Amino acid sequence: MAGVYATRQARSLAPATSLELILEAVRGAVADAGLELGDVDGVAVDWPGPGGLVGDCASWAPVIGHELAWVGSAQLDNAGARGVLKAAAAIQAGLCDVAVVGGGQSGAYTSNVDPGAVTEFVTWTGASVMAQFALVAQRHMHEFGTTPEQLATVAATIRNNGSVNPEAIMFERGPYAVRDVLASRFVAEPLHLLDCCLVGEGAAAVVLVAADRRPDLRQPAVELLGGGMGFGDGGYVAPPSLTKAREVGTSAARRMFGLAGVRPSDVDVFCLYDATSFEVIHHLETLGVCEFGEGGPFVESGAIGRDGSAPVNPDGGCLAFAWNGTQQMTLKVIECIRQLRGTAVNPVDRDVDVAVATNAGSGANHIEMAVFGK
Amino acid sequence: MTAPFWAALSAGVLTVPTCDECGRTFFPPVIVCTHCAGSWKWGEATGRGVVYSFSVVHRHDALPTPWVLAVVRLECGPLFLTRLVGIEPGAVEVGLEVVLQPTSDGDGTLVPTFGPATPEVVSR
Repeated sequence: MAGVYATRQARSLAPATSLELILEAVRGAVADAGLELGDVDGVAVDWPGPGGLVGDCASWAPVIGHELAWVGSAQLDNAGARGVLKAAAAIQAGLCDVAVVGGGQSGAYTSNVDPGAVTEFVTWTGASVMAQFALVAQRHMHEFGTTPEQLATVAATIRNNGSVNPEAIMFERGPYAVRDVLASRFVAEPLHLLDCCLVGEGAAAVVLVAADRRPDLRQPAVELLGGGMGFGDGGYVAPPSLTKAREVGTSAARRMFGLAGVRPSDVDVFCLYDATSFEVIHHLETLGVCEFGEGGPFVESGAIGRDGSAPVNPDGGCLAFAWNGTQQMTLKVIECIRQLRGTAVNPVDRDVDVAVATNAGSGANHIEMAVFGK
Repeated sequence: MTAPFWAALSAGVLTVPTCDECGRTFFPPVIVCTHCAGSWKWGEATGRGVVYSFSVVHRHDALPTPWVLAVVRLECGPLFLTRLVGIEPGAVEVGLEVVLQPTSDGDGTLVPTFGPATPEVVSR
């Protein structure tokens, strides 16, 4: 993992266009690696236009300045753990040597209640993204006795990380106590406003290189140690269920930790998908950091704080740092790498040798994860 | 593929994909049976089920809030995403027995909403 770059993240970055932001991120990540744009021969980066087919990564060839040896196939392949794993696989297969993964958006989202996809047996209900996540959380509370206070503990912990991160959209907002989260209005029960992530804009990119390019690099090397993915269904097609949420990702976690040769207890920092406070509990359980059903008491113990046994989202996550569409996934990878390099804005209270990023979405229908080390 | 579902609903009947090979049901419809990959036809369901999970929605662009989004475990097995009608949001709980109670959407389309199976559970 040779280079990383995140643009400024904000609720709105107009009049910057998506392409301008993405180009800044790509150039920034390549420079961070100590490489030139012309060194890049693999691209999994959003192409929003103008010019070219929207979504076609091959449109980057004229920008890079030469033919590309490998491209991604757009959307989620260009982001986060999934993007990094596929690019790494391409490099390992010998298809390219220097790959960029990333993207971004400016001005694309105006509402946080529409999942976007039109699916016949979901759309008629009016189910928003947050309400679909709420269904999984509610069932977890029913089965395991998880409490609103435990969800609020997640929200307060991660939001308080963001409130001391000058790069965060919610910098200097808070600090929040559990009671503040519970006092915020409901969006979709059991989720309060402060249990729900931000909606914003920004871009991000990371650069991966083949192992033999390491001497060219400017930064201390961070290795991708392993990863895993699980897909239970297409997005927003079927009702989100806790049963499916418990299945999807469990084998991915086994695969990831197996490839890396590490255990969940070896992980020094977690950058987890926090579309809602509950998702953090879900991901900790999926990763095997705690048992299924025990995520509530686990977070309530203080474990996920920067001084805890399993620090989560020290940058403030999607709840307080930034959410910028699919590239929030890349921000999770970037924070892992910054924690490993020792350049994170909010370092955790321990030496970081192993960091895990998780991405997910669509209620609980897919999950992707990667583990990084020095 | 899904026109028969809406036609049956307009007659007040809930139908679900029912496998020609293994006889099992699933939802939502996909091209083959999700249990055995066999062919399937729309089959009548009872329209009864229990609330598997729910969310009282307080913020929405289109529908007057609060309203209740729910996942219902149908008597024949599959989970079904729906809205609950005819019940106070505060009275909804996991395990509540519900029954198909189609309502007319804004444009006159009948949609597969559910209501309480026993009328006394309307408010709490």
